[in-house]
Amino acid sequence: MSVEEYLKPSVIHQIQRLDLRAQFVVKGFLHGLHASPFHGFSVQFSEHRKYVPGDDPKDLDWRVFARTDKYYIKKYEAETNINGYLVMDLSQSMDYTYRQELTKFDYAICLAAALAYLMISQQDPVGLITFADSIGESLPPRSKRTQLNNLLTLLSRAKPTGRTEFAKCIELIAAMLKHRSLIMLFSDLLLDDPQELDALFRLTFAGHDVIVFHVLDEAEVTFPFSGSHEFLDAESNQRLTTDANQVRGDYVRAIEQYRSELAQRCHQHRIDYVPLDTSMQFDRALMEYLMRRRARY
Amino acid sequence: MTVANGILLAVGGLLLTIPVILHFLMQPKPRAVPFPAVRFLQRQQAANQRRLRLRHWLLLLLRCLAIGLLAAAMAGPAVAEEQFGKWLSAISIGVLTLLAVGLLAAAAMRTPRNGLFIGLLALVVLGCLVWLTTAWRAVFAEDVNIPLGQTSDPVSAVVLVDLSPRMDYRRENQSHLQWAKQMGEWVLNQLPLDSQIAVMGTSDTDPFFSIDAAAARKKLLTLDIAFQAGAIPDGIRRALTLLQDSAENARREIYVVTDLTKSSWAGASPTSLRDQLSKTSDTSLFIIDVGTVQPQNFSLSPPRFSSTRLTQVSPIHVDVDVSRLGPAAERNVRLLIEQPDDSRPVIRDGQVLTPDRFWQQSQHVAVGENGSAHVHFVHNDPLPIGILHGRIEILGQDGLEVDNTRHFTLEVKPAWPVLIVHPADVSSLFLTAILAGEGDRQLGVSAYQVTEINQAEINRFDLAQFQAVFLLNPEPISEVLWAKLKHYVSGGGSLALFLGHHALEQGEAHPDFRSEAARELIGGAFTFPWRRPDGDLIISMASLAHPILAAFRDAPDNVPWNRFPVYYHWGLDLESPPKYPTDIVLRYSNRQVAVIERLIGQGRVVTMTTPISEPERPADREKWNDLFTGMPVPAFLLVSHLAQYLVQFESDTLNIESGQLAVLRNDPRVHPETYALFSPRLGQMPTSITANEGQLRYRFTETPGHYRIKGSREGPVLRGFSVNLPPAATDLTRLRPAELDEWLGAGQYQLARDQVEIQRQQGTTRRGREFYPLLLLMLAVLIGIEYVFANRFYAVR
Repeated sequence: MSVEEYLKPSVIHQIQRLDLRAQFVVKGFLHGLHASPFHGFSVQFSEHRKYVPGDDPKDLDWRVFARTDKYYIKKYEAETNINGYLVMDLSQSMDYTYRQELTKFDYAICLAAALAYLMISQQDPVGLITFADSIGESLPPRSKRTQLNNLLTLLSRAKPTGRTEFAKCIELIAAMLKHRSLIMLFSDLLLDDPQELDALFRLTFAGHDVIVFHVLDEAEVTFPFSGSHEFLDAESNQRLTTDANQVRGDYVRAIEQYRSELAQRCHQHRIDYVPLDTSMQFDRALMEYLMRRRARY
Repeated sequence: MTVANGILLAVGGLLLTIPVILHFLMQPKPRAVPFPAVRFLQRQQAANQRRLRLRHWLLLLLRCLAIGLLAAAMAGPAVAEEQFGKWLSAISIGVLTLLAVGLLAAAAMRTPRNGLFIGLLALVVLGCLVWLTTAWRAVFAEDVNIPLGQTSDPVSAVVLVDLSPRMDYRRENQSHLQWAKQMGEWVLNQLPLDSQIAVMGTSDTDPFFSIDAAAARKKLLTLDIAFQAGAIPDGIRRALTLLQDSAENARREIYVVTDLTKSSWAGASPTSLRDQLSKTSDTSLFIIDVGTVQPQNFSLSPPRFSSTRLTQVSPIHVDVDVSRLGPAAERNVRLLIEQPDDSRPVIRDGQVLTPDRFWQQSQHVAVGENGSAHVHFVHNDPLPIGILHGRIEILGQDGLEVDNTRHFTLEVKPAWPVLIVHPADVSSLFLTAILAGEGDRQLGVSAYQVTEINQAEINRFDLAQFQAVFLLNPEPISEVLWAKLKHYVSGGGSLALFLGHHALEQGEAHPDFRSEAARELIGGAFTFPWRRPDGDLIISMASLAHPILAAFRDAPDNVPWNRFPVYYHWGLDLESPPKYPTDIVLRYSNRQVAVIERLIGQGRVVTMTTPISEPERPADREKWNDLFTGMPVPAFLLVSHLAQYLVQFESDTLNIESGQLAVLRNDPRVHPETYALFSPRLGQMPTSITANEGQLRYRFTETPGHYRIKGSREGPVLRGFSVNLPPAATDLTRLRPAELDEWLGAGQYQLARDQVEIQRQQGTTRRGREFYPLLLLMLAVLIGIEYVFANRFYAVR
């Protein structure tokens, strides 16, 4: 199996441990970058400096030590750290999969873990906030290696459940964040009221950078059903019996319109909007993050 | 419409409830699936629900229709062949209407709605409904009186066999009539038991049902060619009448066995037969064609003779055309003229013996494909006075033999004695040229024996020895001479009087032409000459009824009388009332009398009021007419026929067509009263015929050939005539399908050439046209549509 295979959700689905998933995704992504126009995009170590007491011994470059018999610490190109927050939607609608592979939530945490891995690898502090009808778990941003374990532990424990109070939760998050941060929101954005999205824009007013990873299931985009079905939304408890063939056209048009409206509104508020579905490879989200980071710093 | 198994139809009706019950009780429950984005489905929910319900109803309808069709197919519905087209149209329109309604419903359910499209569809549906109503009304209005049932049900059937001479055409060593009998026998054998059967030929005028099938079969076998067979349409009419009057079974059939030649389909207008057939829809008509599609045949046209006025030394010129139907071929054509034998015909040992010595000659003729060739015979030997029988025949084998021989009869007579009387200064040149040309006279072949004298000599002659006397531009006639002429005419003589300038005295008619004797003979008194020097007075062709004018009847407007003007003619003060029968034969264009005829006693007087003896430039007087100036064809014809009329040179019509009445004059002074007639019909003994009112009449002349009449008056008297078939009777030209349709009406008959076709068409006619295949096809299509729809509606992924 080539390294790039780990960018496919169907492959990642077979890996149970979240840390391994994140590691494989990032390795696959970086491997792809070497062969891409983005080669040289700075995630490599730009130089080494001499170890001074107080440095984390695990930053020692043991291969340099082996060659030179001197202690050197890896120094990264981007010395300026940004606080990154992975904001994870834990509403019940995120626990949906049509193919019985990765649920939207699985896809989202896999992506979040990969991002966290990438960020920590670059010494960027990254934290985590989960929310559903209220703020759930939160982990302040750290750039230490242990932060990744803590973060992955939290993510793996999280279970999507209950309704979403999107506006309220986003407003609370906005209130929580004191420093200018990069907020990466993972949600299906299936909101009762589209106006709730306005809360997101307050984050940009507060000076935060926001990337919205709009994660939908593949079936929610393509609507592959045929024949008569009773559709059930467990989160809102809505039921609808209809002929899938008849409504497919209307549904696909409606979902595309919704995503384009979201994209337009996010663009107006300088929010990066990344429409995803669970059949898409992870590199798109990671690339979006790196592009954002380079543009900003 | 009939249904073979009505119970199945009722059972099918009950079965229709099954899909309805299933529809309401066992609707498939939709599969429940989690789907978080339900809110995006709800926008079109109302329209979708309507559409879903419509689809369910549509499926229910399709399933009900499928069961209905199955039940209908199993019930075996059938309609009469004639009605099938209408039923098919009505069903097709019904299907179209259903489709239009379905489209309208679908368009109405669709969002957004297209008002214009829905409006147009609504109009289409309305049109379809009106169309459908009309079609079904037409179906039910006419679906009567056409009995259908099982093939084995007894029928009332008439087998009509074409007996025309054309049926004698031979194919594969059998005549068409023999083929027809074989086919007729097969038809009789396969008719259901207890059927009522009549066998008739086209010559039968009064057909009847046979006692049983055996009698019908016997009658079929005795049918033979009839030279006077009627036309097939008349036979069909008689068959229809028979079925209408005497048929005992509801189902009626007519089988016409014919060679389908055009000549068999003649008579009254096709429209009446077509209408009659359309009104008798309970009768099935089968036309069974036993003819040859591409016949090959030689035939002879009726012979044409150079002259019917034969004297003993007249040559006989015979012209005849040999026609060929089929590829080019060659044959010998022979002319046979019997040498008279006073002892024959005679019966010996039960056989009729006829003269067996002939003058004969033959010619070889090559005829192109579907062409004809002309043959000319000349017979120059001296002929005896009396009747001559002869025939022209094509030698060798041929498809149809009966038209290979043409019979003829000629009469040889002595020349007629006529007297031409004229003053010394009057020329008889034109009249003598007309009656007997110099060449003819020298050869002795003239029909007239002319004696020409000066008017002053007339008293010396016994007029009774002359058949006719011609007085050309006479001088005044004394009372004695008028009396002599009247005596001659009363005794049976014919007098022709052509009056000219010699009758003129001091501007009016000489008293001798105004006398009582003259008036009595002529029918009026001459008054004074009418003068039209401008040349605009001509002979009028307004009335051509008189036999003298027969030659002008074909094209009266084309006779160029305007090139032969009359300048003077005598005015005639007609006797009123006439003492003797008087007839004005011709008038001038000024309505004055030109030629007048008077019958006195046994004879007749014909008077022309202008002369026929005018010289080119008369001396000391004006010319009376230009009738014989230039090429005087009209005047020549007029005088020639007048002369023939006067000498009563009326030949008996010795050559007639089959079926015509033969009439021969019988002069009791020279002919016997009773004769024996020998018919050419094989095996027929002579019959006795008696003259009546100076005529011998015989009407049984169907068989072509020589009819010999033998009497006795101071020795044997042999007379006779010939009968030939008209050319149409042997014309093998085939009737085209369109022409058959015109006679019988398309769809009102079944045409078959062999037994298989007849059986199939009988089945169709008796059982009707079954809907089973059509219904099964519709069912298959319906099941297909239902399958597609059901899969589409209920497919679960």
